[in-house]
Amino acid sequence: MTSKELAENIFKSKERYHKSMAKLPIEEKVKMVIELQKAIAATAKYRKNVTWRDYVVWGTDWLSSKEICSLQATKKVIQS
Amino acid sequence: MDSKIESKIFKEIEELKKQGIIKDFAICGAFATLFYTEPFNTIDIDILYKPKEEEFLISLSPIYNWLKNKGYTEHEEHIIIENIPVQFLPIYDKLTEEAFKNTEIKKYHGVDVKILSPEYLIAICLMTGRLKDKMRVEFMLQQIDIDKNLLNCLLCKYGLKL
Repeated sequence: MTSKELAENIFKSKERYHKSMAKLPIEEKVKMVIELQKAIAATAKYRKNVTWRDYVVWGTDWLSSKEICSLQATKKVIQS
Repeated sequence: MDSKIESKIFKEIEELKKQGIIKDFAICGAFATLFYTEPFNTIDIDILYKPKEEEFLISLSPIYNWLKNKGYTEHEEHIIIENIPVQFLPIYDKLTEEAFKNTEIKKYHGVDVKILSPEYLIAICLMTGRLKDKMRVEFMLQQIDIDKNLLNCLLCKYGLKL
């Protein structure tokens, strides 16, 4: 197999994987979205310029979380 | 999380329709795209709705007031229903009007929901043109069977380019 053929096989395999993910039931996809949200929220403290959007995790009371309260407090200080 | 919560959101919005606050609604944006593509992160559910009456000035107040009376909170441009940010967008141009007329019905936890079709989602993404919209276009073009004739018609009609 040439390097070009090998690369093509890898790309085709990736394409098959993405297509198979797209075919999952929407309910399963939403569960995965929530896992992504959890990962983003868990790593938000290591990032700059985070907003309330970084803390949204569906099905949790994220709006009352200490991180959101702290963001809102900072925003009020800046505005005043 | 009990992901049936989103179904509860759609039931609440259906109630807005029954109360006559909106005429009809469909899911658009990232959540609609998720019905067709692989999962990707999104934080809200966008609802495209048909206002009660054709008015020049549209107000979201009747929708927000009704939902706030049910105990839901307003947060910036969203209303938080069952801890999920939901954004209401009225039909705002010819493209969204046409998209609204050509929705697909999908089941979500046993509830029938109206979803914008992928060709219209692509056209709307191209119209808005944000980086994340371009990513969604890429996903849809690569992962699903698009009606290419319809998409080309839309691109031509609305002066859009892939």
